[in-house]
Amino acid sequence: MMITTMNSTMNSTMITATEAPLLTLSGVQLGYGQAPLSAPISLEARRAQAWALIGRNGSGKSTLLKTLVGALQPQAGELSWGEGVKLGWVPQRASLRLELPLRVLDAVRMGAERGWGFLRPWRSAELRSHVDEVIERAGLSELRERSIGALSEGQLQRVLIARALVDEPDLLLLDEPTSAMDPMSEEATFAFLEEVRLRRGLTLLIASHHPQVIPSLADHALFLDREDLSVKAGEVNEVLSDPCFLRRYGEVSCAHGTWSAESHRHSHAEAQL
Amino acid sequence: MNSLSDFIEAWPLFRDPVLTSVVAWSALGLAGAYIHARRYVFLSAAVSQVAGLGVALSLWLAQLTGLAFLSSAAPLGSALMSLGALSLFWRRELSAEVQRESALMQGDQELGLIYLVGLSGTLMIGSHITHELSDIQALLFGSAVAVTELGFWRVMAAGLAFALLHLWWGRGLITVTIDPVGAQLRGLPTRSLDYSLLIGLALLISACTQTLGALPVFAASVLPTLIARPWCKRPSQVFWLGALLGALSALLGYLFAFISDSPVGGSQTLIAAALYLLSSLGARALPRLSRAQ
Repeated sequence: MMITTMNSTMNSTMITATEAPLLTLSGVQLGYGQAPLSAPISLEARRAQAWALIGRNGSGKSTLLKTLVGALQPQAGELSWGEGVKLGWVPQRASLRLELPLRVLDAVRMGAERGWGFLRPWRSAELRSHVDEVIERAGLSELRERSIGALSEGQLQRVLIARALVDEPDLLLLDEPTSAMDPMSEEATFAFLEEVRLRRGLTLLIASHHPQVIPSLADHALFLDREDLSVKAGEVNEVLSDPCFLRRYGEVSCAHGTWSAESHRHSHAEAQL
Repeated sequence: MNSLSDFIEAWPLFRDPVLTSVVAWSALGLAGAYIHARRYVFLSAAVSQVAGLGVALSLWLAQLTGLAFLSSAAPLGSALMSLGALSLFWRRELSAEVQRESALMQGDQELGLIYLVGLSGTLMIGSHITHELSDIQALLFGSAVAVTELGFWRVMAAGLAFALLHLWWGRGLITVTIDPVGAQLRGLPTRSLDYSLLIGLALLISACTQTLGALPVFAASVLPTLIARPWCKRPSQVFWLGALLGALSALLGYLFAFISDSPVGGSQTLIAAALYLLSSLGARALPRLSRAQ
């Protein structure tokens, strides 16, 4: 039984959970072939947590997501899932082949389909109404007949998130969901994700190379640095105050405070005193 | 110049070739939606050229060794060459999961190489088998007006097999095509689906190339989908409209070739290209017309 408490304090929402983790990584090393891309990663993701996977391009964020969905095997360590955990996947636009015409309705419905033959009966009334409900909740009702090729980046991202949500996942993986968006669309997308997370107790794992925006949504973070082969995982404040993180990104404002190399050095000195 | 009534009078003579063309263009029009969606356009060109090289090699070896049975093994040579080319391509598809950008560039270079080797190899070998020159021309440009009984049934079988594959696994094939990672996550047998599609495409292209020639096969696997695309709202519509427009291009092209006394492959390709032009112009003009009204 899930036990989740939510306390809204000022602009931040603190979510704590006491149930078993949905995902556990114990010393997992990522990579292709024999070459490891990362230092060993250990973390536990629980229900309703929002994890930001932060790192520069090529640091291994997408590789971690591909490993989590089973497209790649970990080089070392152990990756385990909680019992019956259902995964959702929101890919980067560039990894989708959108040459065929696809309406918003078709794209969202595709997320719920598990069969692969035209001859098999499909589209029950129950599925149709579920898809309609997800489309409505995602604010896509007016766009449902529109071709996804005609959508803006923000609208397309919303469709891809709705497509992942229609399968009612416990944990949603998002690969650079706002990389091609303007700030307003980005803000709207994060607000939508936050609303879904709080309403459904959904766990989020969001890969991004924008550290400035991700912390506004995340309560936990995983920082991957390929140059130093270092990894830092934990609550977002811990990660943002990591010396390696500060060296790479400097000051990052987030819902939990503002962190900078200067403030970190100051607080570190105070702690030593 | 011949007339339409001449064509109708001579219909018993042309029935099998026309039917073969219509079925081949129709099946390739159906397959073309996958080729288009997976960005395999250049693959179909390369495979059709290599399939032609397989036939030319079989004929040349038969002449060189005096072993007549080798020339009747041409379909096997063609299919093997097609599958060989596809296995090279498949290696790219696997590596694309690993390093997408670089793999795509490398894959394009490999496809270019396969195409060039297929075309130049067929031309080179064709010059050494002079009494088969018309066969080589038919193979490259689709200039033959008649088909053998074996060719007729080969195209029928390959076309039917591909249509059945699409009917049976079409939804999965479309899902895997659009979002391979998402399909894997939802438990679809992505590897089996990918293999089935690639082998189905190889056999269809190979069978049609041996009977119709490389040029019309390439055209049939690309143009009908391009004609259909602007008028479709769902993936399934592109497949069936592509098949229908493929059949129409084949029929009109054959008729035009008969009336103008031109090569069939070139005529069918030009008719399909003209339909594509009309489709593009229509798709652009229609919204303006509806706005004006």
